[in-house]
Amino acid sequence: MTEIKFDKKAYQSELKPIWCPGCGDFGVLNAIYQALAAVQIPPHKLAFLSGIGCSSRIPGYTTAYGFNSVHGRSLPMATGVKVAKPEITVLAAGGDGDGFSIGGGHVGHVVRRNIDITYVVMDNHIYGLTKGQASPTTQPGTKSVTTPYGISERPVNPLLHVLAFGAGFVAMGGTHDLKQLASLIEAGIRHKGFAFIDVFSPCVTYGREEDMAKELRSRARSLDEAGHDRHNKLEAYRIAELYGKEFWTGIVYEEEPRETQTELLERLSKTAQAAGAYPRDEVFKRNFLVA
Amino acid sequence: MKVKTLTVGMVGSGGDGVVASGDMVLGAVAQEGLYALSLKSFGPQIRGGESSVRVRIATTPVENTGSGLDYLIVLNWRDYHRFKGELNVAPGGVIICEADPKVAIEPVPDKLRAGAVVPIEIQKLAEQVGAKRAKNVLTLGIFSGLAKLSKERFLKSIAKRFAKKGEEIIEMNRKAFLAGYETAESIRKAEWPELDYTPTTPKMLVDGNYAMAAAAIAAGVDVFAGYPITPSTEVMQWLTEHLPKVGGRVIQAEDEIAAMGVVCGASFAGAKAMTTTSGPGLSLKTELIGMASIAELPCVIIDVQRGGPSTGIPTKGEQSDLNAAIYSAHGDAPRPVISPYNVTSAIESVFTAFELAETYQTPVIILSDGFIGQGKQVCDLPDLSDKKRYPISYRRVPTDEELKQGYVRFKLTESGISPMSTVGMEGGNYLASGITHDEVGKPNSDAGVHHVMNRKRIEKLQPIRKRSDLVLTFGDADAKEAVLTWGYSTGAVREAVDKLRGEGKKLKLIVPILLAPMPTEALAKALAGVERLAVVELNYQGQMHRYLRTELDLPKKVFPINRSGGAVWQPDEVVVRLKETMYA
Repeated sequence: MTEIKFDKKAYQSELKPIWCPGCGDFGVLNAIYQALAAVQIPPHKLAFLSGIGCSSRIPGYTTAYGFNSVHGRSLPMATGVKVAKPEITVLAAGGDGDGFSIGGGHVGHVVRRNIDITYVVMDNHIYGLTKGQASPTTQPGTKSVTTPYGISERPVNPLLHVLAFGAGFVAMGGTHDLKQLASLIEAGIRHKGFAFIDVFSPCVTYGREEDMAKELRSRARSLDEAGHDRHNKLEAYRIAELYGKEFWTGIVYEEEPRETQTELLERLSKTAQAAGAYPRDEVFKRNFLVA
Repeated sequence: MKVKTLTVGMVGSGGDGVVASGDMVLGAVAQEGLYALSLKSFGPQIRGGESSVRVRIATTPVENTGSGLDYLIVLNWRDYHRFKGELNVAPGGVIICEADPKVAIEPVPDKLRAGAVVPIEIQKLAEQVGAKRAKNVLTLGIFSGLAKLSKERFLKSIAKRFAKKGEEIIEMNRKAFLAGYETAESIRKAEWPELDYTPTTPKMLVDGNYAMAAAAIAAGVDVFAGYPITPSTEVMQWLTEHLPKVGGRVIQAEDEIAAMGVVCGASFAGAKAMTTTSGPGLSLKTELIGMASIAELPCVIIDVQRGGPSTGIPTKGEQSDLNAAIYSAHGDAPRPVISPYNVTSAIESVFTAFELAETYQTPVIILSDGFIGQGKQVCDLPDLSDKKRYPISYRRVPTDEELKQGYVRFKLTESGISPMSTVGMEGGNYLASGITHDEVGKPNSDAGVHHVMNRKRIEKLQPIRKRSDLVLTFGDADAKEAVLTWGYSTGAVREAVDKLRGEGKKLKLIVPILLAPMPTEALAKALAGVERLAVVELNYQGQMHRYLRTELDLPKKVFPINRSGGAVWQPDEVVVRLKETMYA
């Protein structure tokens, strides 16, 4: 047993969340505290980056080095931190709009990098902060303030999206079961490489009745209990395909750990240095003086 | 005729190797200790299109690629017509061209017939020495023979250029060069320009973009992130090879915004971070540059300007991103902007940019351009031990005491500069954000706090205005007439000013390297007593002229001299424009 140095409170900041009473994001925050305490990361060795949205306020509610950046850019920001300081544990979080609409172009590429970042998407199928517009995961038929006659686009499937880019860790959780959610986030942090966790975190103000925690609890089905083989990629695709239709929770896919981007860069840098390291102040003489 | 400086221009189709020829000229003269500057120009084709290069060689540092050419080398006239606006010939200039009409495609243009036209059967000669594929090198031989440059240095430069291709290719090019050189000896005329110089210690030969990349390494960059965009890409390319050698990291990001995001994240973590882009990329990065202002993140953005707006002319330079560099981003988000005028000053500007970024915890934009970036210069090695010129700067980090007492990231201090912890520092944890925040970093929407924090961030930059070392003046200190210019145009304008002074005019040249915050004191001092001022720049609207008017009392008579970019200012062109306006 490792010594418990940091309890849940060690990760809790003085800021009070601005979320609506009953918001799913409280549950996600709680699960994150639990996961961090389980892994025992010193708060100053933790960076937590987000974009914009209700859920993107989350870094401020922790004692990590937090960054509430601009809309959609949590993943490039997180990449920058990890590349600069590979020894730091890096979390990124945001909503489905932040991750799959305005920031959608980044997700696949961070997956491709297999950079060791744990990315938690608080997926509520709606834009909450701007008061109820359709989001990229808004399900067919939903009426919202910007889709008064129903939605004209098919929803994004976040699970299939990251699997298609080769994600090594993909999980689905919900705020109806915080114990499971904490364990999924913990597993994501412990996974070496990029980890993606889609969390169903209902919006109590603008969400659909059938998406509230009580409803979710009755719909949720555990992948573990169903005997899902998390290392089977085809099975993972099959489960992912059910996103929005059935609510399966647990680790959808996990591959054997492979070299992360920062490890690869370290290795390549060592090779480059072995072949020809030089002091920085000799850069001009070495490369441009015509002998 | 013996001269201290001369310019050669070459034009050809893809595969003719004219750009390579330009490089070989530079390599040869660098060995001789001469100075030089080159400018290459391409058609829009990705591969195999027409290309041209001009190289100016001199016994003193070269800051512009001259006016008319002293030597023009044309393999076929069809290619020449595509660049004729950029390759005019000086009075007394020599035109070496293909004599075989089938190869030359078109006849010598009427406009050029007045000069010394020297038709040579270049292709036939190359075939005779078994070097059909080395016509360009043969013309180099002709040029170096006529201009009286060292044969040995050229042969070494050629051997180096083709080293990877094997002995056979080197030998073929050697033969071609010598055939050209011998031809030159048999046709040379005394009135043709030849360079009068004494060989001295070898110089550095560097591309503008590479020079800025190397300067970033010397200035201590840890993390670079970028996205390919013409004409800036070589900065990233060079760093991908060299930054890992000194322990740094390069990320080729998925887009311009991501590159800026990586830079912001790395800076937040504690790294010296930089990105490079060109106009369209600067537009895309704007939101995050604004965030870097409010989150007080030190970072450097190099904008290698190209013709704009939108896609504009990607392959050619312009000075039209001034407004974007100074003003872009919503809200009150000023940031320092500096603009170098040649490769040597580009190297210095990277050090200055990191100095300002780290000291004042702010994004800093360097406005380079396609002409500096794509040009090659032969110049002196920078003496990096001169720490005044090449400072190595670091951000102010909190002391142990400050960390223990309860760290305040955005503490209101007299200077406005607050201690910045780096990720991993115990006790330094804080929330950074783009949202309005108080001293601690806590989000806050109070109008009073918003005003105070805006004031902190804007006022902390004001001391930079006092950097009078970043305003250069040349010429007559007490002149009543002055020219102000900036960036790459400086080289040509400086030569124009020298010419006019040579004609007996009293004239002063003012060149701000620091553009924002405007160094008002130094500029006002430079303008004291000036009654007539010309502002020369390479953009349609006269962006600098308008900008000066926003913060400075200008002389009563101001003559904006501006045109769109794509082609550089030539010294003679500037002389004519000054005579038509300020001296009219």
